[in-house]
Amino acid sequence: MATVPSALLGAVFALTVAWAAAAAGSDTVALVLSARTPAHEAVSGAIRAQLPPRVPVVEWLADESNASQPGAPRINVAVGTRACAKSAEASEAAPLLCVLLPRSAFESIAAGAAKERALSALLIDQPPARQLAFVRIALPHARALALLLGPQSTPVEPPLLSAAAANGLHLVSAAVARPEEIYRALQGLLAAADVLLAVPDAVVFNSSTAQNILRTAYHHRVPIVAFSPSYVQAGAAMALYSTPEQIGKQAGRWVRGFLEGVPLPQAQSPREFSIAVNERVARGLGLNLENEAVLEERLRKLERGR
Amino acid sequence: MRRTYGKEIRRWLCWLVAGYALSCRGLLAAEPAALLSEQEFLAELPVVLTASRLGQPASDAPNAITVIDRDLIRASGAREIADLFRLVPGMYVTYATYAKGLQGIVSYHGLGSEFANRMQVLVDGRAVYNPTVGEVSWTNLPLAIEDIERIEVVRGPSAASHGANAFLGAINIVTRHPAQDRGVFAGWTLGTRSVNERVLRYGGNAGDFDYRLTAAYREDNTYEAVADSRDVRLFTVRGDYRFGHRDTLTLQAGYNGGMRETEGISQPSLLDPPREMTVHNRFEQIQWLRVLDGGDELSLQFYHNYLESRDVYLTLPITLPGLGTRRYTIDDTIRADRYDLEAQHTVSLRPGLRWVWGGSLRYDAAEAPAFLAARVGNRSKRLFGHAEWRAAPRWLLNAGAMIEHTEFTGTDVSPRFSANFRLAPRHTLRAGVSRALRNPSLFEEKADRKVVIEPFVVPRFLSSGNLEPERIVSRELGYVGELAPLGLSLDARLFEDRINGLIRDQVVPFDPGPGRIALPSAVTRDFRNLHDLRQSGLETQLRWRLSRATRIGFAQSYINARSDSERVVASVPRNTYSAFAIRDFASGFSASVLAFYHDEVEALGAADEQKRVSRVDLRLAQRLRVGASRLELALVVQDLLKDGYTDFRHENVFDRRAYLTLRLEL
Repeated sequence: MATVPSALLGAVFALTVAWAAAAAGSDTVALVLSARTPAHEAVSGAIRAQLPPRVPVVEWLADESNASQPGAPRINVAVGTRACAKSAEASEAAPLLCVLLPRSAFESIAAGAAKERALSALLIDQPPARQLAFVRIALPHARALALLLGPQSTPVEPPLLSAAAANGLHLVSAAVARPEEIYRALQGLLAAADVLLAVPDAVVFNSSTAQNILRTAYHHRVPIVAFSPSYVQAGAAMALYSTPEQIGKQAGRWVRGFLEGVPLPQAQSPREFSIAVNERVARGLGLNLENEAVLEERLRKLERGR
Repeated sequence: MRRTYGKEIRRWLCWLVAGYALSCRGLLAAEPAALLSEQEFLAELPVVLTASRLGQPASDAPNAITVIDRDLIRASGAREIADLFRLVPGMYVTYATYAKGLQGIVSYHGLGSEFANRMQVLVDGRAVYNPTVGEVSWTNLPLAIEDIERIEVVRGPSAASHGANAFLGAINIVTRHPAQDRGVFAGWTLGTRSVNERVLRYGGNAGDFDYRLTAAYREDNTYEAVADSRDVRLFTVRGDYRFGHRDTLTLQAGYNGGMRETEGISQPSLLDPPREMTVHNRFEQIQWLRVLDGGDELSLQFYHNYLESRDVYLTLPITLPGLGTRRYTIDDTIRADRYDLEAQHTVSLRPGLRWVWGGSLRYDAAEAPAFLAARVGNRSKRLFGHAEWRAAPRWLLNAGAMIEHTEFTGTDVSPRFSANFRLAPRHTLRAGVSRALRNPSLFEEKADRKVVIEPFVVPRFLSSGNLEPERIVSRELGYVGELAPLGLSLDARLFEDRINGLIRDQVVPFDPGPGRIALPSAVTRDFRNLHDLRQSGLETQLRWRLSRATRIGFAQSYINARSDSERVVASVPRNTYSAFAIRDFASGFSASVLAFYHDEVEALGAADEQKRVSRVDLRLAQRLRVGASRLELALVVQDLLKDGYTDFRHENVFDRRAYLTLRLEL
């Protein structure tokens, strides 16, 4: 008689475990990181913070082997271009959410991925409309915006052109293929522009070319609107960017929503953003920039009003 | 899942072999359409525009500042660096030729002489005046005008920021960073007055090391009636090495040498006939700059200047009683060294409070048997500090001082205070007071210049020594304003300066000593603190950028000088004016006009009276693109409208001249 209740208990227990395992297996979130930098860790941490504690998250580096994951995950999250590219190569049924990568990279990856694969992204770049609204708010007297493009950043030009036209700004751009061409191209651009919008590209905006670009733009009295706080510290007048924490938080919400049955939103730029201003450079350029908090508030209000 | 090992191996080899080199990117770029990585958004960058590189905006500065930027230098058509200072309100610029070949004399508020030594002149933080006589030898600077990025002229004493000798003002010349001049640049100038110049520059880069080499050869003959032809050979090198994100090492070295023709005043002269001397100047400089958190900076600098002018020549045949008629050898060679070690720390103590402080050790030595009795050395050390405090939203207070100790004059303090009040976002009023002192040069303190042909001696200068430094107290009221939509900026300065103990030479009796006979008479010149001077006046400067293609500027000064010496008053021009207009056309053609004027001046030293001077220069240039190279052909005419005015002495007649320049950038 004693064995029946224990056997029943055992069976219930085993079933519960199996059910929990099955449930866990079905709710697993696979998180692939491109690299272990503080920014990637911050995104990963912010995503995890949004998920319910019982949801298992399996995390690994894109370059490591991923044979250790137990059962198919419910959703794959890839942080960074490299992780996204690798994850997209895999033929899996679970949707892939790429986070913290540029639009141009995502669109290339999406074009090459299998048709049935559900792909979405929370990008690292700011929407062109917001960038230009920022320029208009911070530099109301600016009329001509310069763009220095490299081989990887040429895709950003068309949307920026239309956003510029919508904001009453005139866009001048130059494309270079090699770093040696930067200085010449810059000279031509800066002679015609009131502000330089920096757009990331491995050839054009990196730590060795930054020196030249920052110095030349300053010499021409042209402020640079950059894409990271690091660039502002280096000497750009201001930047519009989203922090890894802000991106991770929004991605985490998407994942949580997905686990609760809400479909993933379409690929888009982050909703939250931050602004950084280099006071010293702004003063040196004779600009009367408001402080960061005021600019952020004004830009948010403008976006809400849209 | 496919794994492409080939790509992996190439990538790892790349990092092993080349590090950050561009070659790496080339290898990787060979992959079709490399994807943009998020790393480009997240990467750390080194701080490029540091506090010292930004400088203070004019509205926050404790002094009035005039900036001459590269475009203005080019549009001026100037071949000589000294010429550029005519664009600064209140600056007196002229040229002398005797005893050293052609020399530019640049002095703020007059007081020019062949040894214009009352301004501090720095090139990339290195003081370039000659410690022997205290002058700045503009012709002999190891610096090509094409390598100048900008010049900042501080109008008024600023020892707290620019060190000793910033008595009347300071000139800070900043050369271009090598990264700005990649590739090959060649220039060739031909003109009247035997002008023939060639410049070649190469800028390159090896990873985090940017370097630039410049070589120039200049030949000309400025004044017709004077032996002043020269051939200047100049070579400079600059390398900037970035290691880590915070540290930069800048190495510079340069040479300026060649032949300079020279002669004494009042030709024909037995003892000072026309002759050729050679100059050999060089310098080495190393600077380490570290950027600390929050944009603070630490810098350490060492440099060595070596100046040599070799002047060994034969006199004309001289007949002396008892010695017959023959020629004698005279050796007027001067050799001088300066060693300087300096450290500076810039720190933001609190938001709105910035503190710059530092110190330096300097050793000056000169050997000139014909000028100084023995090898003279002078050790000096200084401590300086300067605070910039935003006391209230509209008030910025600047307070600073320099404490200096030299072997000759002991310890002295030069303080400076200013209060800047922001009337409106782009309009600032400034009130300031500063004190500075000028230490006597080695020559003023220890001169022993004579020509000895036993038993005869021709006395020239003999210092009794024990000179006090000259002192200046300067008070000013200034205004700096901008009308941004118009692109107009205005700068006005009302000043009152009191100078005490002005050092000048005066004739004193000379004792030739036992067994010697003084010729032609027993008098010599001694340097003493002789005069006081009071200068007050108004200076204004206007710069107007009418459009992207058009710029005009205007500068004016009015100086009322009073002194116990008429000659000192005569050395100050009462009114000076300068103006420029530059227009660039879309076709690549550009035209610029410069005009200068100053009232009559009789400079100190051996100067003659100089009547009112007015001059107009014109430059016409055409730029062309030939493939990837850029070409520019320019015609410059100096003293376009009139034909001739005199510079330092009556024989220095500057007549209309023209030259053609071809510049090529590959």
